[in-house]
Amino acid sequence: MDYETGMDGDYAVTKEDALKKLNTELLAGEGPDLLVLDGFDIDRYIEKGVLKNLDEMIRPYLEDGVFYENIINSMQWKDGSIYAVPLSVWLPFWISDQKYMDGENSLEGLVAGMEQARAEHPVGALFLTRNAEELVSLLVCSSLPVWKQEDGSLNTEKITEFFAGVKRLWELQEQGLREEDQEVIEQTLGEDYYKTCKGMEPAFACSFATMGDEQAWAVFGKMNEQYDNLISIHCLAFHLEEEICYVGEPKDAEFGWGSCKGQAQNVFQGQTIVGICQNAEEPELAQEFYEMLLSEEMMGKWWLEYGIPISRATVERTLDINDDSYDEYWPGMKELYQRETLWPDEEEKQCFRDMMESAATFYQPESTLETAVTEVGVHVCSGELSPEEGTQEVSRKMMIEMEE
Amino acid sequence: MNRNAGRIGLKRKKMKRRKNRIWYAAGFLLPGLAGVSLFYLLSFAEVVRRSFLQSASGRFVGAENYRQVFANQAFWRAVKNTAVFVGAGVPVLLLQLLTDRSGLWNGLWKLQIDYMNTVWAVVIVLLAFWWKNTGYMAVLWLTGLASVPRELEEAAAVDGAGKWARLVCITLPQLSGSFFTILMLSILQSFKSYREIWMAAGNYPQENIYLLQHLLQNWYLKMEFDRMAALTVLLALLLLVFCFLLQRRLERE
Repeated sequence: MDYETGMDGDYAVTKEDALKKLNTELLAGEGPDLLVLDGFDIDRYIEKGVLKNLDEMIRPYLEDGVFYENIINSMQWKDGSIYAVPLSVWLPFWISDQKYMDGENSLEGLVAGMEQARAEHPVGALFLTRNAEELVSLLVCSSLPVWKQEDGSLNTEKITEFFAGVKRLWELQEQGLREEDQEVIEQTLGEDYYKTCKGMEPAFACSFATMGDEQAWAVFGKMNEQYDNLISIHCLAFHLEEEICYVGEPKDAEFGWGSCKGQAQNVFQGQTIVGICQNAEEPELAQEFYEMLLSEEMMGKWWLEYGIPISRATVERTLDINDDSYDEYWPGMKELYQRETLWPDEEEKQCFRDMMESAATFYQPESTLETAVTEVGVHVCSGELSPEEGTQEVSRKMMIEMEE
Repeated sequence: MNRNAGRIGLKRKKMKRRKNRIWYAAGFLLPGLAGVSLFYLLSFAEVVRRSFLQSASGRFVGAENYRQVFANQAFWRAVKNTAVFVGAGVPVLLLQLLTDRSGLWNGLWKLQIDYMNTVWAVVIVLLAFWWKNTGYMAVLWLTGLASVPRELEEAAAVDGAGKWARLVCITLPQLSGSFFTILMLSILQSFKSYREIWMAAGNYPQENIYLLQHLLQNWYLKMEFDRMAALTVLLALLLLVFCFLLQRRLERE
């Protein structure tokens, strides 16, 4: 196998360079046989006939219930066919005191929960984000899929609603934020954590500790790994108890987690989205390799650090864990923590299963729309622009791309 | 009879000499022409061919790609902005050199507003363009001015021509050759300004500084090769016609 990466410095330095080179190769009929399409405008590659129809290969898996059909089906193109499949997914989720999470499953519900939190905790940070940009970025994924209408035009009403929601959240954050809280956040998160980790493990590790000290009441991010990650389903329960509830004095809070509330429902982010090129030099070999990637053996092995696999059996197998599995995953940790309840209980496992079974809204990160909303969102949160003006600004920024 | 034979002989000699000269010229031109043909003309012929095909299937679609280019709103926006940029950038560059007004805009650079995201973006880009190209163009103009025979101006002055008359009747006509070169170079330079705009504002800048090159770049990323080919052919035609008309006009003058 000849494995090529787009932005390794030799092939290209920027994403644009890499795409231009790849597009040139594809145009010349010299492109790769398989493409990993993360960050690509997948619709465009399908529309231009670059990707092969995978129906024949994928459909039998769906009939047998091997993969989460909700995830695969959400990748259907407008002609009803499947051209690319994510081998694993990330699920937007959040952690907070359970009583703030119980409300309506919408952006309004999230705002209402945080209003309640602020009312009960008038002083201190509500969530661990250093600035409005971080907040907007973390919340975009669970709302972005509804910002475009079927005809491709912008749903300005939804964008205005989103701006109003994040503006309110940021106001709530700032209402009780003291200088020392800001200092704690800055110290906890460090200079560049957000740019390098973006909602990943270190952020959560910091958040757990901060929430444990009652210095924050919510944290947003994406559940992205298994087994040995703080924010994996396997570790959440343990860390919620260990880090938050039992560090120092027991807190008067019952922290839980759930799918992140937003304007869209059941959102997932595809990872390692693979397609086969229509003009593959060796199509049979490409298909064989693809099927190898989809095999149970592979799903259970090397995805572990890249996301939650789309194979139902693999997920179930990893959920079927007990104390004997402990040393396999965390050698030596059992002695260190001396704890009995480590693994998620049945209720938590079911919650995770439900999230996977219902994930049906594909979120594509790094789009021009996301960039525009994040940029403008900062000005909306600061009050320089009203939500309506923010939407107008986003429409203006998006105008050229829509025209193209 | 002898006289006629002599004339014919002379003509033949002249023709032979002319033929030899043509061969000499061809000998000098051929390597360059071969390079241009290989690396530019053949590639361009391929672009022309592709402009009539659908990129995905390679199916012949006639003038459909051209129709799509003309129907595209972003194309007209980019055309307008590029025309403004070339139209405003080039004459002012020329005017600036003739009137020696360089450095006039320095103060504007000290302002503290995010102009690249406002309607002022186009002014900033133009200022940068002028600033960047003034020195280069000044050298070309000075070379042109130096080549104007001093005797002509002196003779005109002796005949009573004033400064304005000497400028209009002697200096400017003598500069027509330089004018053509500088104009063409300025136009090419103005197209190259895309690099600075892209560096400052990315693929989707403020709408007034969105140029044809942005459109081409973005279409490249979106694999709109068929439309790109059509637009490239149109641009090449436009430039060719412009060069041709300008050269004819200058030759006539």
